Amino acid sequence: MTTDPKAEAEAIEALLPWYATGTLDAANVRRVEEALARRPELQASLAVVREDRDETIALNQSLGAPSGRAWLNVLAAVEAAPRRPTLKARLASLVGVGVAPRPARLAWIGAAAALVIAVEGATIVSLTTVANGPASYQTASESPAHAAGAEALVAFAPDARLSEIGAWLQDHHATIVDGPRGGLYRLRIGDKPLTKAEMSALVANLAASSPLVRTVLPVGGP
Amino acid sequence: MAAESDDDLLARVRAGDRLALQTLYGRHHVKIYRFALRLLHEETAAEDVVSEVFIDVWRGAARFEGRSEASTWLLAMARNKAFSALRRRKEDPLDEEAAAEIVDEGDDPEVAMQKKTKSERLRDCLARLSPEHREVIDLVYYHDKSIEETARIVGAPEGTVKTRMFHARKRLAELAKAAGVDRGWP
Repeated sequence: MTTDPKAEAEAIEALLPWYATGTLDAANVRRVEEALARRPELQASLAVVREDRDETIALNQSLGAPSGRAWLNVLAAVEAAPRRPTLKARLASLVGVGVAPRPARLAWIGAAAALVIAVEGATIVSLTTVANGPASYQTASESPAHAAGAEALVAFAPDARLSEIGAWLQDHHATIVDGPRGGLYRLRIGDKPLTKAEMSALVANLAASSPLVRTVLPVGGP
Repeated sequence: MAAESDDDLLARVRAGDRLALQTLYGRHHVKIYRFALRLLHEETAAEDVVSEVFIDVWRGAARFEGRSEASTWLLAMARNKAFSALRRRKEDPLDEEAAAEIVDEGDDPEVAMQKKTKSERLRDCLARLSPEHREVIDLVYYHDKSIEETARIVGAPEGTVKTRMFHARKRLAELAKAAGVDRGWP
């Protein structure tokens, strides 16, 4: 604190933004509150700060979220630069792969499932509502011929490799058109629209197609 | 069950755990994107910043010393990358995105402004602040960063951060007044 009243007033004025957001330390909170009690005109200044804060929050919240491209770039870099396997991974590799679910693998999948379930509701809504809008992400291999294909939301196993996912997409004539959002990718499959019955069959077929696939949900329909 | 802390997730990322990286991404990618987008005004460039930050996390989580919140560390990385992109853009006088921005601002602003609500006018003014003023306003008001954390992110002393915030508010008030929103401050 300074003994010069003008300098002290300026110092208090400078602290108001952090006072308004509740991020000021206790000593400075007391300092500001004493000044607010002594100088009622500071309340007007604080009201302006609060208005600026509210508009800043509203502006930022209107900015949306990145497309799935941002996460795919991260995944690609992770695939290109794998880390040294952890002790858990090395132990798991000694047990063998694919015969029965291992406790470590189950724990990973369980944790991933919890994460996906927590955000899946909102994600399904946001992904399905943009189903007819412009795709924010398209794979390089997508061609106009695929534009009329059926669409589905798919979650892959968290330990699935990018190369495995790529092969699975190729096998099923599928391309990623959006995501992941909350772990779900929006895929376009084939090159023609499907009836409801065909779509149900396709979803069941995709869900059973590979351990890579954890969840399949239909999008829209004719 | 209590959610795992960011510090715990970073420890798992250090051990090569991809799911921990995905969880950390899920928690922070939107705010990092918005921070970068406010600085860069270009969605693809902001997405690139997000990707680069988390690729750096994967490659260098060991560099996180735990002296600040993980979100502060992530925002500091995002800030450095965004400002590098801004510098590259300034070096390219024919940058199309920058040109598009200039054209947008020239669209008969007086008439457009008169039709807007007070709230819309203030948000327009927030968007017109300089990058240095935008970042400090966002860090304090939207990202809830303390003086100390803001100083860490922008790489300046705490006194400088307080002064910069004061000038950002003053500039915002000037822009607001010019847009017909006079709130009697300063």
